[in-house]
Amino acid sequence: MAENTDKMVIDGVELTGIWKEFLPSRILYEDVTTEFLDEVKKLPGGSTIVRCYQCGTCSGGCTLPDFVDKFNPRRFIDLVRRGHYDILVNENKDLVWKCVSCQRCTHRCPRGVNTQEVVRAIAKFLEDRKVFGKLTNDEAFDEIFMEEVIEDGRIDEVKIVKDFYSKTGRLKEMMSSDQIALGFKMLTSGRIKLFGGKIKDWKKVSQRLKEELQ
Amino acid sequence: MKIGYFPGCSLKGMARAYDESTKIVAEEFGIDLMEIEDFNCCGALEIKGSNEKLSYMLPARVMDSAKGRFNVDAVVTPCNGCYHSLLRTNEAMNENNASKGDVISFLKDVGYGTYEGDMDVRHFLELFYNEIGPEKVKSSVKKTLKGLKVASYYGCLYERPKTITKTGYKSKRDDSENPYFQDELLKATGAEVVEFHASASCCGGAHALQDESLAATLSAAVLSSAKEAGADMLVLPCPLCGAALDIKQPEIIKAHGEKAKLPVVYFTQLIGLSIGKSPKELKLSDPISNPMEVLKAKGLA
Repeated sequence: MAENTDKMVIDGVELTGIWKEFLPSRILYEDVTTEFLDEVKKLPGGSTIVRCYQCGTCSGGCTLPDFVDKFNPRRFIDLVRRGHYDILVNENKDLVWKCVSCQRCTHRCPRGVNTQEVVRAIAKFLEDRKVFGKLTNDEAFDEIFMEEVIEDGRIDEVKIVKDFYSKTGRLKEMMSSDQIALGFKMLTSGRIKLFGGKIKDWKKVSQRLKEELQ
Repeated sequence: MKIGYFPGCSLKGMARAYDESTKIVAEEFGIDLMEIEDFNCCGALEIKGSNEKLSYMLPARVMDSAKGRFNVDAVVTPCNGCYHSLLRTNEAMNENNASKGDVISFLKDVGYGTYEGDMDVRHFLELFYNEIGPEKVKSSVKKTLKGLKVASYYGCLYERPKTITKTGYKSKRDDSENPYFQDELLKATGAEVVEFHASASCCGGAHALQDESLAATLSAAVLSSAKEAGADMLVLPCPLCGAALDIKQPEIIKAHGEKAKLPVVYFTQLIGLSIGKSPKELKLSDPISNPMEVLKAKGLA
């Protein structure tokens, strides 16, 4: 491309197609630490983070930016890979875990990054480092879910809601008149069973799954 | 045709209308659903994010039960979440994931030890479209749904992500950006399918408990876009979207107003209605969002 193309600048962005001006360079010749990248890679679903080439297709199609300001999967991945831990924690820790797993990013990624699982792994990485200062709702729900699946084999919707509210200190909300009315309708129409179905021989499976977790 | 049937936890609880209407419709059209009675939870998103090996073991046990008990090579589920978990596991097993050996020895210890991958995992919507299809539905209609305007909603995991659903690679899969299987089936019942831009958007259901206000905002966007498009009701193929859009609807209306008030039903309920099944057996009184009111007003129930 010719060097001396006339420039067209809109809102501070150069649009004449001189790419090094249009998009900031993504190959940075700086000292990067791979400590955080190595950690995320090892978490469940984190391994494909290395395949990302920062095209931004994930963020372009993402469900959340319309609803959650500055939610940007491409940036989360970039910050981890470049070792910018402080920016990740200070500016993004309350965003990362908001992913709703709609899978548009994973679906459209041209590089085969499992973006949804990578974003979840980054959230887990932050949880493991205790940056939230308390048990997050996500952690609480995942823990209860794991316990109940291993113990009973199935999820009982009422039990899991009750245990979640109890674990996060919001049991009172479950006693609101709306919730009680809903519960009554569910119960009388037979959609809530007070004694859930048991799976035959689940004890043995449960034991084996517990061993797997150790 | 004979196929293993995996209803999943939701269909045995709050979404029982989906379970029962699926069975009614399947029987009517000659699909022999062999229910995996001792099924366990597929693990959903929560196990996937916590422990990779377990996230394969749980769905693998379901597929192993189907194969061991019924000697089938295909399993169908009406739930988008279960569909995702089973496909994801099957894909990992076929690609010789590092956990494969452990999963196989787990199944030998606690199950039939018959499953090692290569299961044909189907979604009930996709199966019904491909094996029965709109033409057969059309010729079986006893009570046309003419005059009923519906918004056809698919949710997320039915068509995404292509890495595991193989949409665009494998025949029989729906179009992943513009799914249409459910639209065509609904048109065959005589209903009018409205143009609706949020048909493959996310209802936010994954965060229905963890981040209620965000989930409600996403759900309200789906419901109000269907309502604005002129729909009398929203039709869907997923019990998790059902929980988010129907059971949570009173809370969504409280936060976002009447624009989010819209009856929600499963596609199997409407197909059942069109072929002459009663609203009672199809459990059309189950949804909190009250589809019976509009069905009665239109003389359909």
